[in-house]
Amino acid sequence: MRAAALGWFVLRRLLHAVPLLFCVVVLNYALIASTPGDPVTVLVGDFPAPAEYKTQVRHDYGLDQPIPVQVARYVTRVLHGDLGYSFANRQPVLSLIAGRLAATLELTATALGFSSLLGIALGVLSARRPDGVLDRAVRGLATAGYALPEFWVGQMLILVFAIWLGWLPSQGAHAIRGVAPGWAGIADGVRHLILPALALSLRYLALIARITRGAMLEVLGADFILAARARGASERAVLIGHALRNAAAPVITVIGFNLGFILAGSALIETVFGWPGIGRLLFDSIGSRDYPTMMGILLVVSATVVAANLATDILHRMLDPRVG
Amino acid sequence: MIPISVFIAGGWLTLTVLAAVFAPLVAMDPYAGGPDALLPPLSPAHWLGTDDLGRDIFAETLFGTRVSLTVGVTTAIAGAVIGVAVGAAAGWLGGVADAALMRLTELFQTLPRFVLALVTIALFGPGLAKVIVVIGILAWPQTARVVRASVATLRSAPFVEAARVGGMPGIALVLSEILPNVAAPVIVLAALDVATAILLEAGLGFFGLGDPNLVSWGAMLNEAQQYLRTAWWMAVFPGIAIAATVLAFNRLGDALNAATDPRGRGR
Amino acid sequence: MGLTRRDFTLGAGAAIGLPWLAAPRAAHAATASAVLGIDADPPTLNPAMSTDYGTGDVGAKIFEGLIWLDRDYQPKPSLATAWTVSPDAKVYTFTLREGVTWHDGKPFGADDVVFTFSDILAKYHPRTSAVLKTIGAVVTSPDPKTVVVTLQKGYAPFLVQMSVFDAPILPKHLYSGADIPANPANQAPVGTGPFRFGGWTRGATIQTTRNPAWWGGAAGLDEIIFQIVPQPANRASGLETGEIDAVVDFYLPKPDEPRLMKNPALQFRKGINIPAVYFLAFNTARPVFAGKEARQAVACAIDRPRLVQQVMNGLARPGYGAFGDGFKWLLDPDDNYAKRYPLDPAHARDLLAKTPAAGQTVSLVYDAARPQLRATAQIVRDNLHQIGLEVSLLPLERAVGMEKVFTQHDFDLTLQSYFSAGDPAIGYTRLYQTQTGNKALTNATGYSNPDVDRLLAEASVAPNRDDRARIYRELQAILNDDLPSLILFDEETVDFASKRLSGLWPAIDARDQWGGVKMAAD
Repeated sequence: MRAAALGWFVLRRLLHAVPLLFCVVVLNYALIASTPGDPVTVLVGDFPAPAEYKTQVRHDYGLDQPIPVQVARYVTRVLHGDLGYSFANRQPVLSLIAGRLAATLELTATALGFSSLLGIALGVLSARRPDGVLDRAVRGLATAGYALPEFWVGQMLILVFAIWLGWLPSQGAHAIRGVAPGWAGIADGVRHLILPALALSLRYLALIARITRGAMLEVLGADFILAARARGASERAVLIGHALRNAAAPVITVIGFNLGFILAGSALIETVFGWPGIGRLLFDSIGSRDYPTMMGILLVVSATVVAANLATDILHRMLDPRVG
Repeated sequence: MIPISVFIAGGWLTLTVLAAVFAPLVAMDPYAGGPDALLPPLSPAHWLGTDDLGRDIFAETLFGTRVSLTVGVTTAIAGAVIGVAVGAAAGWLGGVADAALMRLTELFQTLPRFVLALVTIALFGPGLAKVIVVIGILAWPQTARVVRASVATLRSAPFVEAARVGGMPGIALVLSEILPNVAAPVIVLAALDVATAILLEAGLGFFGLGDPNLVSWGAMLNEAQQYLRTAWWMAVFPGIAIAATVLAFNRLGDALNAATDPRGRGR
Repeated sequence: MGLTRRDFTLGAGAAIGLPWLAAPRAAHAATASAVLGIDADPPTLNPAMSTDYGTGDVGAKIFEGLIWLDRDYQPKPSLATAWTVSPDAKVYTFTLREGVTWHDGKPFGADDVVFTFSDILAKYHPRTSAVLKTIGAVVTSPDPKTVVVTLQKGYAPFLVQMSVFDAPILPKHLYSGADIPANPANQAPVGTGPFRFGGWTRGATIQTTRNPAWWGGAAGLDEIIFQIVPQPANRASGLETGEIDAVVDFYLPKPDEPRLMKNPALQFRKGINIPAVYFLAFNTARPVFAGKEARQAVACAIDRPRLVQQVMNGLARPGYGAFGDGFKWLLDPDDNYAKRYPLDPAHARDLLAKTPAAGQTVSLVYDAARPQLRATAQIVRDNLHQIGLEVSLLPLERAVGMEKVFTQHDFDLTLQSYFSAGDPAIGYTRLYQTQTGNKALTNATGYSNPDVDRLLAEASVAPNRDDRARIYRELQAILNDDLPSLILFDEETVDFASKRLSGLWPAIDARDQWGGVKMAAD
């Protein structure tokens, strides 16, 4: 019975996400088509491409056809995984983005993991004694973390830990002469990861600590917690076993729905730290006006966010059946 | 009792507004450089130092408030207006219109704002007006949701029913009876939106997509990036200005929220 | 021709995936192995197909031209041991070196040269294809040791374009009858040069090893490894930590160069480069700048030494005159900007007040992606504001900006930089020659002077340098006064290398002539 209900829910959300994705693709095309100048320039990029290539692009995308045909062709291409060709990099945009995916994943997953673990821990601890010293400190950190521009935090971390103290490298994902095998290589990778991951984490650390604390406070006042306490459950068991389990749903929701912001933050952080991921690619493509790559990244990021929202919805529903 | 932090936030914002208005009286020309490039802070003529072109960082930071506040406030107002219009229409009309408007809201809420703004500005070229339009267009979904929820609830409230029976037309009813009741959350969201918009604008400036004819904090940080090793002060002061201003708007938004929504206390 | 530095960078941007997948570098203590920093995977390793900077860097170690150019742009023997030029500068006869073999062991001969010119360079080289067409070059080989190039019209700087960057010689036996753009040899090149291609790990390194059969005797280095370092700041810090042995100016961030110059472990070569000028062009079709008085007022207002210090971190020379000062042989000590237009804002303000430009707001168009132009624009705006001329900055993406400037002529002022490609007749004629065809990267000012056009044409065919110098001085006298464009500064590059290396940089281009480089043991 419950499984069937969940199945229906997943199906409904999927039916919901598909048109959303469609709208995202159409919006992408609307952007291309409404740019001042010739849309072919956007599809080819600022590169002295051969005239025949431009003619072919014009034909392939049906730029001489009525708008609905243009949109249909664009959507069809995108659905077939064709995000265009980057002349500046002499590579199809999709494979260009795929090649950078691992680095971005490494950075964002580390930041997300770190900020979730520490954020939940801080949120739980500060909810235990509201208005205590720790709680005040956490609340202060949360407020500050939410206000600091992350790319500036990155610059300041470079200034202190790379330039003044010289403890950690400030640019790139590994040592200049490539990577040593085995543990030395991993250690080197970690050293390069620390500062950018920290800069990217701060905002989510703040957010997650704040949401966890709020959710915990709400749950801690509930009857079943009082009951558990009355049964003589230890403070630890109450906090972790009962309260945190019930506070998990809102926390996961927040993490899922903020994935878009993490990716945006990653664009800035990768630029500051010369991190070879999608964000840095976006910065470079803006600098060289490599429009196909730019549009491709926008599309991939949008699609990722839609997918993450879908997954979050489903996960939330599974954790908290009250959600209809 | 109003917490002291709210006073500090209010004080800082007052200072920021004063700085934006009276910058020409207090500081030198932020566009005028000279031979004294990369002077450290506490130099006699330039107490926050100078940048790579010999421009006064204090003057640049002070004039930078103009762009940040203009973008922040105008986009927040634009977001509030669009959000209230969409939310009220959806909540009041219900049915198909509601569903359609809410799908639109959802679409805009899903879009990765910063990346979309970056790409749009890169396509259409930089300029203050364009930055405002792009951020403004992206700033309304949350307001729309909140307003829609309140309007939908209030629609069947007794006092609204009474007015409706009394023959009041729909639009007038929404304007006079319902909107005043959603003003508080809208203002809170607008205050928070100012903060978000300032951060977005700084990010655009950092990517080199700010208005080339105006000093802005983001653009200053963009230039500072390649001088981190030689002139830390180029990065430190504009960053502090952004952080403090955003912090102040957030704090004010939270305080307003706490004051108008008793349930929100302590969260 | 017609390219700016930025064109070299269009191939940049490729990078890497997971770092630990990259191959580690084998460390042999006894190997003289030099690590050269580059910015990205080159699009191809065939320098006849691309002017990408990295392609030229790797290509110059593996391939050779008929000649190479020393620091004074004088041709030196490479694949050609001797050459003669007919008095009218129309017939160039090259005697080829004997006993040269390709890296795959096949012998090199005149048919390789003829094939390379007619089937590859004339069709695919971005610059040389246009040059060969313009001058109507026909390449023939009367005997296996000789190659004759006949031009339809005389062209004095022809030899300057015969180096490995503009005319690398490729093996006919690998390209003839095969698909040239998709030829596998473009990724695994076979040349005649001091180093052989040894492997390419994308995103990480390109290896070349000593060619024992090189005609010049064996190279001093056992191997050269091109290390791809995508972060500009890391290319500088790699030199400091010793992880990289040499980096050419092109790859380095300007603000880092003064610091590197103070590093005792490094040697550098400053200001020896193929000249390139940065200039401010006036739209003389607009009433504001139609009269030369307004343009001269601007020349007195712009602080060129400040541009050098702050935009270029001291690595440039302030504008000297109509052709910059990169070509010492054409300079005129009695007629230059320093004499005519010393910095004097008060005087400039008075001059401007008598012109229609007084109190106006003018637009300044430049390429948004180039930080040097961005900083220059800020200073120009500041300088002109002081004399009562307001400037509205209009940074545009490159294609849009080129269209606005060269096709629509919709600008008041624009910042551009032109690369000389080794001779003023190649790179700078386009700055002043009358333009009617809206061609990109030419003279956008609308300035047209029949005397100037005639003198420019004469300077490009006069075979003797003294005659050319006289013509260029005559041109400077006219152009320094008319001032359709104001030269702001001449770029000075700084190439860096570890002090362990010796025999570096005999050529004008720091990427060329690495056969004689040696490395001291640790």
